[in-house]
Amino acid sequence: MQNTIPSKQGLLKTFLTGLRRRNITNKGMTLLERKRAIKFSADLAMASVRKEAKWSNALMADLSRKFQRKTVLPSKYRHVVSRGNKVSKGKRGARPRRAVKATAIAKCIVKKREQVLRRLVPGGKYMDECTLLDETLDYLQLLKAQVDVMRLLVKALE
Amino acid sequence: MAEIKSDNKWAATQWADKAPLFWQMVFRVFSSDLLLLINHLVPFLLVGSYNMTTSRSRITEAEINELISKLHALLPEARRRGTHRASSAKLLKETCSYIKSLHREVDDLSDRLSYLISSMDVTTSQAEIIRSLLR
Repeated sequence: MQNTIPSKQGLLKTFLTGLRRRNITNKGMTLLERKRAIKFSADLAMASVRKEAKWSNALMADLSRKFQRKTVLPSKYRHVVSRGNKVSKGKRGARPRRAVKATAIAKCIVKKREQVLRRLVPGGKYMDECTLLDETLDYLQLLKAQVDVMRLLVKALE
Repeated sequence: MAEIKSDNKWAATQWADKAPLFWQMVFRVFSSDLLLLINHLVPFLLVGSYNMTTSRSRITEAEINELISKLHALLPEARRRGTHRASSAKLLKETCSYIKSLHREVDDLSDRLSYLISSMDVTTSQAEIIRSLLR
């Protein structure tokens, strides 16, 4: 069910177009702003290669939110927004101990690691386990390609 | 409702007539290029919650094994030496750590790129080419 290997030339082309649009050779930007612009264009290029994948759509949603925030909110309000996103953890009461079995421990470990994976892959919160594995495979392929493209660019500029 | 569709450039998108009236009015009011990004999302938004509850089909053992072997193939080859050491906990852990390391590398590379682009005054031929690409 999986798709073709991502072409690095297409990625590079989209990446450079995005960088040009953001006008990064402008000397007026600070290092941090330029770095954010580079990351943004890289993520956009990565997501636009695979438009049908779920992680790609979730990534685009995330990017469009960041894009809006950059143009709409002035920076002094950002801490208000980020504070609103934190979820307060409840108090953990003591639970009665049960006899521990190896399979139960294994399941618990797998569940915890699956939660970590859900946090890492964009859009992972909304997928069931089978799609999560599929999307992870796809996302890994593209992430590797993106890293290769950026390494190439850095090597060319040094 | 025809006049809403006619003077709206988003009517050209493939799901414009399927979108409820609310979305059409949103696009009419907030027509910006940002919505091109959202254009990809609407199928996902409309069926996003649908996926969790209805597609609970039985995953066969074979599919899981196939996915596991593919994931092994993608991870860096430091571990596997022929023997079948595919426990799912280890696999998930290696995947997570690999994704994290790739994220860190992207961060580091974008730092270096940002510095290099800002100090791109050296006149080598490659720098000239890249500078012309980026203008």
